[in-house]
Amino acid sequence: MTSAAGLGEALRGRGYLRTRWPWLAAGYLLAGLLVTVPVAAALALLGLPWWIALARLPGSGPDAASLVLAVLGVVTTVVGVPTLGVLAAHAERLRARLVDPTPIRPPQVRGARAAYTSTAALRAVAHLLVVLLVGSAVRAGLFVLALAVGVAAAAPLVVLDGSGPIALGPWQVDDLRHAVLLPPVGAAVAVATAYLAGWAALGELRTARTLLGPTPEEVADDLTAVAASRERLVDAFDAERRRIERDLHDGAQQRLLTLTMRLGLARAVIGPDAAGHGDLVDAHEMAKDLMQELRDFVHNIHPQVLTERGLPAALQQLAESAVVPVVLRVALDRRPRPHVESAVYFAVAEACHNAVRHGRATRIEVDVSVAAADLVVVVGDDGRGGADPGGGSGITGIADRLAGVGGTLSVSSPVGGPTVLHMRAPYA
Amino acid sequence: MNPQGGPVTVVVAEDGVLFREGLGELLRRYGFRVVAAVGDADALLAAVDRHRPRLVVTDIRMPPTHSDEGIRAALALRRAAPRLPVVVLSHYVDDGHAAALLDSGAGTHLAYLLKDRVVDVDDFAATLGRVVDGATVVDPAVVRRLIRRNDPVDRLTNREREVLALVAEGRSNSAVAARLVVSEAAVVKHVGAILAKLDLPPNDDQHRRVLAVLAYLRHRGGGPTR
Repeated sequence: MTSAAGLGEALRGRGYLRTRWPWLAAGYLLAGLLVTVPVAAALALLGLPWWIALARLPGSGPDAASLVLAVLGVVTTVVGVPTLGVLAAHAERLRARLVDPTPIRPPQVRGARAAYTSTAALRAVAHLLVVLLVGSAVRAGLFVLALAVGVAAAAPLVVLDGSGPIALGPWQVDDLRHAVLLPPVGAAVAVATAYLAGWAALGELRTARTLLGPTPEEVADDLTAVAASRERLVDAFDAERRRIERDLHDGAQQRLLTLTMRLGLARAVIGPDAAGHGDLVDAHEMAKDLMQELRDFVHNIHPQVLTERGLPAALQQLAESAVVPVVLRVALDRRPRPHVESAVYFAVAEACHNAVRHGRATRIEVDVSVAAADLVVVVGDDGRGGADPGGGSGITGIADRLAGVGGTLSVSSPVGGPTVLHMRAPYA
Repeated sequence: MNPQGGPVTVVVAEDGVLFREGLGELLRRYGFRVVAAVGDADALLAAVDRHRPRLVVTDIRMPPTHSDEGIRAALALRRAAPRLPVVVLSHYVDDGHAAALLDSGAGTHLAYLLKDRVVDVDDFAATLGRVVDGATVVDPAVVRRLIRRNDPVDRLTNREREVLALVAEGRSNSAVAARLVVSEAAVVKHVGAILAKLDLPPNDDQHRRVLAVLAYLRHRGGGPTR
C-alpha cells in the first residue's frame, strides 16, 4: 500500500507534474490495453456459440441447433470466464508493479473446484468486468483528451500549412488568429489530463488491490496467526528462563551454598592464630558475597517466588525490596497463565525501576485487578513525569513485554508528573 | 538442657545430595547425631516415625513438585507431635509459610530460616540448639519485611529494630543485652517500646513476645499456606 500512497501523495502534493508519476500513470493505463484487448477477444470467442446462434436465427428460426448452441455458449462461458478471470488477475498483478513495487499478494485458493467457487474467483471476475467496462471507458476518455492536446498543440502549424480547417467537435478553426489560441488551451487540457490519468491509475490500482489481494478474512487470519506465533515465542522464551533458573538453583547455587558452608566449617575449627586463617576468613566472606550476587542474578532471570507462589507474593517481595515505599493492592481470584504472570511481573518491576530512576519518585502505587477478561495493572508514582515512550525510558520494553502476551500499555506522564502506567493483559 | 541425655538426634531432609552431606557433616561437627538423611517429604515422615528424633531439619523445596513439600511435612509432624523441634530452611522469605509454621503445634520449638544462614555455621548450630531447648526463631529477613511493611521504619529507632531482630531470633533479654553491649534493663525498655509501637501488649515471656510479633505478621501477611 505504501507506494500506492506514493502515487496518491504525489497527486495531492505540489509539483506532481514535475515528477515521473504522470508518465508512470500513463504507462500503467496504456499497459491496461495489453490486458483488456486480449480479454475482450477471449470473451468474444467464449460467446461464439451465441453469435452463431444469433446469426442463424433470421434464416432458420429457433430450432434444436440454436438450443444446443445456446447451451454450449453457457458451458463455454461458465468454464471459460473464471479461468479468464484468474489469468487476467495474474496479468493485472504484474501490471500493478509498474506503479507500485509492493506486490499484490494473491489470495490462497486451493484445489480446482475453489478456482471456480471461491470468493477469490468471484472477485477476479468482478475485477475483470470493472477493468473491461469502467477501465476501458476511462482509457477511451483519456485517449480523446490526449488527442485533443496533440491537435491543439499542432493547430497553428496545421493552419499555417494550409492543410485545412481544424475541427474540434462543434468548433472549427481556420485562421491563424484563432489557431494561436489553441496551444495554451491544449496546455491547460494537458495538465488536466495528467491529473486525470493519475487519479484514474490510482483508481485502477486500488480496485486491483481490493479485488485481487487477500480477502479481509485472510488478512484477519494472518494477523491471528502472527499473534499466535509471537505468543508461542514468548511462551518458549519464558519457559527457557524458568528452566535456566531451575538449573542454576539446583546446580550452581546448591554447590556454592555447600562450598560456603564447608568454608564456614573450616573457619570454625581453625584458630585465629593458625596459618592461613585470614585467607580462610576472606574466602568465606567472598563466597558469601558471591552467593548473594548469584541469588540476585537468578532472581532477575526468573524469581522462584513467582513460579511457586504467583503474582501477589512475587509483587509483595518486589514492593518490599524497592528503595521507595510501594503500596501494593492485588485482587486476583486465580493465577493467570504462566507467561502472562511473568510478563506482568517484569513489566511492574521495570515500571517501578523507571519511576525511581527516571521519575525520581518517592512513592509508588501498584494496583492489580480484574476487569472482564483482562488483568488490569495500574502503576502510579509521584515522580516528575515526562516519561517518553521513545526516549529509552524503558517504557518501550514494558510495552513489548505486554504485547508479547497480547496485552497493551497506555501511559500518562505529563511533565511535572504524576506518571500513571495502565497495563492490560489477557486473564483467560 | 538435654533431658534425654546423649547427643541430640536429628533427621535431615534435603534433596540436594551434596548439600545434604555437608549439612550432616556440620551437625556432627557440632555434636548432633544424624540418625537419618533423606531426600523427600515422604521419606522424612517415615524416618521421624521410625527414629523419633529430637530435632528435624528440613528444606522446603523437595520432590515431587519442588515447591512447599517441606512445610507440608513440618505441619504434619507438628500435628502429631506439637513440641517436636523443627527447623525449616527456605529459599526465600514467604510470610504465608512462616505464619503457617509458627502457628503449628505448640508454637514453640520452631525455626523458619533462610537456607543461606547455614554458612554462618556457629550461629546456625547455636540456633538449632535454642530450638531444641524450646525457642521460636524467625529469620531476620522476615522481621525486616515485617518492619518495612508496617511503615514503623519511621516509628522504630535503629536500636529498636536491632533489638526486635535479635528477639525474633529467639534470644533472651540478657543475650540481646550482651550482643548489643547494653544493660538488660535497657533491652527491657526497648522491647516495651517496640511492642507499644507495633500496637502489641507488653509481655515479659520471651516466646509469647515473639508469637505476638508473629501474630502481627500473620495479620498482615495473609493466610496460611495453600
